[in-house]
Amino acid sequence: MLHLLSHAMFKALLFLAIGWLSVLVAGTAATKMTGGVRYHPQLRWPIAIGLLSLAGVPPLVGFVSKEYVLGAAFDNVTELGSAAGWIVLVSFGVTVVLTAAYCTRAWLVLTHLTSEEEAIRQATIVASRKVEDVSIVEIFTQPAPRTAAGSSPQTGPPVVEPDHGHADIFRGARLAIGVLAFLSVVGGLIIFTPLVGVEAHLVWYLAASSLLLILGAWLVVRRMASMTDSGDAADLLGARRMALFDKGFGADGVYVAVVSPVVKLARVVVTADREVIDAYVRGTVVATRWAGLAGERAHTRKPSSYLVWLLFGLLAVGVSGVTLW
Amino acid sequence: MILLLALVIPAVTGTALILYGRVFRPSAEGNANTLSLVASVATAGFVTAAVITRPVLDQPWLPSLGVRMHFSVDGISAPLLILTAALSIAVVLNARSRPPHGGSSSMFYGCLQLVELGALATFLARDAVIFYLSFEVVLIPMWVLISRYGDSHDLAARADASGRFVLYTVLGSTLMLIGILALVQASGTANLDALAAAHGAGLARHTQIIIAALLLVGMGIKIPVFPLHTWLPPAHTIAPTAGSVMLAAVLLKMGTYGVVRLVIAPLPIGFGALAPAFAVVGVVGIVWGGLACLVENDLKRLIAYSSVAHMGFVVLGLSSGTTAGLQAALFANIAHGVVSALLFFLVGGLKERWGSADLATARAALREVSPRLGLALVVGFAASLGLPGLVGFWGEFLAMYSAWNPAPDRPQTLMRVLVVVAVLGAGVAAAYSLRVLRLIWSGDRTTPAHEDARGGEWSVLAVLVAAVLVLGVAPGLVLNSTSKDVAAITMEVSR
Amino acid sequence: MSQAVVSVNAGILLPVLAPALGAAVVLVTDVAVQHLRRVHYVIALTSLVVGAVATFAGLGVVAGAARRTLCLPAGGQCMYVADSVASTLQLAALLAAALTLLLSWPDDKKQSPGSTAVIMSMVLTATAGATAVAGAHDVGSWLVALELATLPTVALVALRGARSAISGAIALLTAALVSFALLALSAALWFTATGSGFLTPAAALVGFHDPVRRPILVLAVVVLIAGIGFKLSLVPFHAWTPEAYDGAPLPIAAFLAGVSKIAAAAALLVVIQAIAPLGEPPLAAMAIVAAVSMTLGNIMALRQDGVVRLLAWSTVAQAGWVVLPLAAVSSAAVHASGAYLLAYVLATLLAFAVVAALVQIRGAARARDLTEYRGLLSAHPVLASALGLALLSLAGLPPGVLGLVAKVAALRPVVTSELWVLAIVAAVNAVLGVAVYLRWLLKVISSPDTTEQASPPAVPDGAALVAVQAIRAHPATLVAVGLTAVALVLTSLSPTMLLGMLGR
Repeated sequence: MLHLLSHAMFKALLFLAIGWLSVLVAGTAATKMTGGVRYHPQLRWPIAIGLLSLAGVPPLVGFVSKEYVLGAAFDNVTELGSAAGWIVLVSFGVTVVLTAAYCTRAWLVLTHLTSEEEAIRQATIVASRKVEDVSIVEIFTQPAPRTAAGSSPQTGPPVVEPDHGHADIFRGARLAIGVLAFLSVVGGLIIFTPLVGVEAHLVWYLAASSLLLILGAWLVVRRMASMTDSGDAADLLGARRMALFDKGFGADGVYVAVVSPVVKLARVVVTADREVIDAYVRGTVVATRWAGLAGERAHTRKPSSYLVWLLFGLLAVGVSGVTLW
Repeated sequence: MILLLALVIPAVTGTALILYGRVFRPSAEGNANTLSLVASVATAGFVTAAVITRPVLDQPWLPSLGVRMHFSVDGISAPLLILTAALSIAVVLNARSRPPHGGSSSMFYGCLQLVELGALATFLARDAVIFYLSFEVVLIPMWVLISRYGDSHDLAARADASGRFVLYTVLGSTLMLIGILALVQASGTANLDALAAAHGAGLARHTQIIIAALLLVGMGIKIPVFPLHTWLPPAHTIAPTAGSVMLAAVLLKMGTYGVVRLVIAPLPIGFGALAPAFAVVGVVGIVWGGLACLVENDLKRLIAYSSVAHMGFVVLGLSSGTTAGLQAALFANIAHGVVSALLFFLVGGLKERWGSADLATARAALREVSPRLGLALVVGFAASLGLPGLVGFWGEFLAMYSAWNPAPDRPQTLMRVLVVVAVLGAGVAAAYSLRVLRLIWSGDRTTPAHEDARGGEWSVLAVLVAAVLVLGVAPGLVLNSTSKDVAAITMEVSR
Repeated sequence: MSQAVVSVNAGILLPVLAPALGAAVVLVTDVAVQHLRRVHYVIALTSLVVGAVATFAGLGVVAGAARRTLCLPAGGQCMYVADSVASTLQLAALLAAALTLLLSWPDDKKQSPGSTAVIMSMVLTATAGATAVAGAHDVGSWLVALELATLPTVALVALRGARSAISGAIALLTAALVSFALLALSAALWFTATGSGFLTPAAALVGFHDPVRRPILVLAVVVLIAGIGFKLSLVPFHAWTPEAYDGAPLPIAAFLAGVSKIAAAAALLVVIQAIAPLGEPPLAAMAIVAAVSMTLGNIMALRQDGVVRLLAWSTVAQAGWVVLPLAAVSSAAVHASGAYLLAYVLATLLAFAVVAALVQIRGAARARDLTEYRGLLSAHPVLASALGLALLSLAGLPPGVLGLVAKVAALRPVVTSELWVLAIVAAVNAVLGVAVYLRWLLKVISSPDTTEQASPPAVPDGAALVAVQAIRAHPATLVAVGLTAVALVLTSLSPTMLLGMLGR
């Protein structure tokens, strides 16, 4: 429950912040967002807080809730000593590493600038001394290779119009991000209140070991990123591995394999509904029409026709009389 | 007195509108609508008063046949009565912004009033023969609505749809009549309360089974259960908006209500023997309807098939034989009434704006061009697929839950298998609902533009959206009303 | 033999005597004073009304308290017994005959001078026969009364003189003769089997318990059903119906559909009440005949494009419904059959009346063609509403509540006796019946084509030239339509008015 709450806080924060950024850079691809935080410094702290909380760095709320989940899993192991408990613990350690790794990658991508851009930045900082105006000056003086164009909240923006024509980021969104950031920082204190029914204890060596894992992951990913041009550590993994990861190790293929037969079955159902079930209903109409035609043939207007019916009637009478005898 | 007025007002107004249609001139449109609106509101007032005060009307009518004019309200019929009265107002309000065409408007409103009369009388009836009579009252007005005011693009299809509707339904109700007469003869009373209290005492098992079979087939045509459902899609496709709403939201409920009153309560052993078969056709209907929706391109036809699927859940709940199942079925009834009314109002309006209800043509995205319609559409389809928090969830979930642990005399393994299949059906429901949303709600097309909902149309949609949300969050509003009477019915069954 | 005086109570016999005397008075008046027209109508209507009022005393009485007369001395059997069912049927016959007269009033000017009296007297005679057979309790008077009810109609059908009329009359005559032969045969067999000339349950039981006579009795009943079947238009004795209805003048067709059917049904009910103790075999024959009549009648009616032929085939189907309850061994069967008969007669006569009014307004060719009814609701709303009510009553759907109640009443004995197959056949036929009548109703309520009203269609019959201008219907016809419609509405709101007359 606690993890659900904390997850709500920092994930919402991250989504709103990244969403804000994506509106400004007109896209959500990593290549578009590269260096985004550098160009829009007002997003620096929200994103940083969010990512740190996601990774589980103290004293943010993500750390607090993660540790309690870890503690509960550890209790399981020590009390029951089962293999399943160990598997949980080990896989938990793996997730800590992976989470820290992708948080680091994300941060590095968002703060990456190529060497020319870095040079321009340094030059403009020297030139203007006003960090906030960097983005505006860049728009007017530099032909930026990316379509990213800033819209600083202080000035009116000559913004590259994204397709959707959205309005400016309004005050409510900024307020919301601020509140969420605040909650992510101090949210950990909630465990000291009676609102969440968790015993306030922490397994210190587990916390320490997870911190070590986070630190290790950060260092490794930073090293990997520095070896690339784009600042994206994932480039080192290779295109084919990336493709495999993207497809979820082929889990998507199962989904596709299920849909096609279902749709075929749906078409069979529709045909059966029309040709088989409804055929009975239409059949009654057809049968009635045929019966009518047959009846009409038996009831011509010639006098001989109804004399035949007369005879038939008398025959019926005779037969029934004899059988009922 | 209250009951008498609640029934007399729609009867007199309907007859007057039909017969004296020529008196309302000029601006016949506005006059007829206003009169109809006033009558509907008055009727709704009396119905609400009846639901609160629970009066009883009991007069002899045909002593030689033993038929009495016996009407009263109880917990099971109360939500249905309110639904009928509210939707009658909604239909007239909607027609203010979207007037009918194809014939004189006074006859249109007159027929709507008579449909309301028939539905109210059915839910109020406490005499089995009066129940049958009220069942039949709705047929001719609805037939007139479909055959005169329906979609006039293909006149042959219109005649076919209306003829199919009335003939198939008459077959069902005549079979139901035979079952009713057999039940009355065997039990010695035509009073529904007495029949329910007797719980089938004194009726041999095979008698119960035969009578229950007749009644279930007869009412199965009305519900409709697979494979007796093929009258519903053409009827809905052709009918005008008001007709579709009343047909889906009110008339279909009469079938399941009849099953509760005439089969489950008085013939528990007979129904218990037939329940597994009943549940099987219900679940087949869920999957069949869902799959048909997946590839259907006519929006009204799609919602018609989804109605078949939803009623499958109702049937599943009824067959479980438990109190929870019956509660679930009655709630799902109301839920389907609200959701299908919302969807048909929407789709009716869209069909008029677009000229057809074809999904294969590229349209302007609703969320871009008409956000109000888009909101209503999203809520409607989300409720249709059973999203938790909306009214559709509770009916489906409780039905499946109760079928998982059915009454002791039901085959548990079969029911559990059916529940699994029903879950798959619910998955298909999600698939087709989201498909529709993808096709007409999302996207960035803004041409050809159409106007958004406003006036009477929007107020109706807004109220229905609110109802979907409120009942989804507080299902107790309905469940509490039905619980006591449901317990009385199933008391002796689930021993 | 000691001096036997049969007691006669004229008051009880008035429903029979009034029309008979009326017929005599009309003929005498015609001999005395020539060229009178209206007077004959007035005399005829008066006698019918007198007879109708005389039946009131017998309505709704308890089963035992029947009105008896023509009784043998010393407490013997009575030859005329009018219980509530019989009295109600007599009332219906008299009122139906009055309606026929109202419908034929406007045609008066077209007929030759002497024919008015002839038509009046034949109608009255046939009506007297109908009322007599309802109360007939012995075989002799039963047979004579039934023939008295049938034979004048042959002349009435033929009187118009057109080719179709003659062929219709020949069909009717052939059927009537064969039927008479069968009925005479059955009367003789009855007498042989029971040794009694009275149609009573006691007599039937006498024959039933004797193993030698039992087959004769059964044969008598079967032959009797066949004979009645001709008059009631049951399959396979129905072939004359479309011919006769189509050829006859419209009021006479209404007479055939109304009074003749009442006469035949009343005759049948008298016999059914006598043979009720017999049980199974004759009733099985009844069930088969009912089922086949309903089905064939409905199927053929679906194909008709002529309104009168449609009503003729609908009569065949409705005859099946009238006979349906009699397939069951049930005390309520006779009442159910009577109730259905009355509902059918009321609705069919209203339909005929509306068609007659339209014949006067639009001309025979246009009013008898089904496709010409398109858009009737906008052209003549009152007539269309009346027609719609009649059709829905025949179909058994609200707002024709009377027809629905009659359908319920007819099905009840069948279900009570657990004749499931027959009940399901009846259900299917209810659907077919709805199809038949809604086919007509759909045309009535649909919007008229603008092209149709551009020019009147070319008609071969010269009589239609009169109808090119907008003509109003004759007041007598409108009165007929109005009275019948009001009766149908009132009995739909409170069917007890009709059912109560039949007694418990």
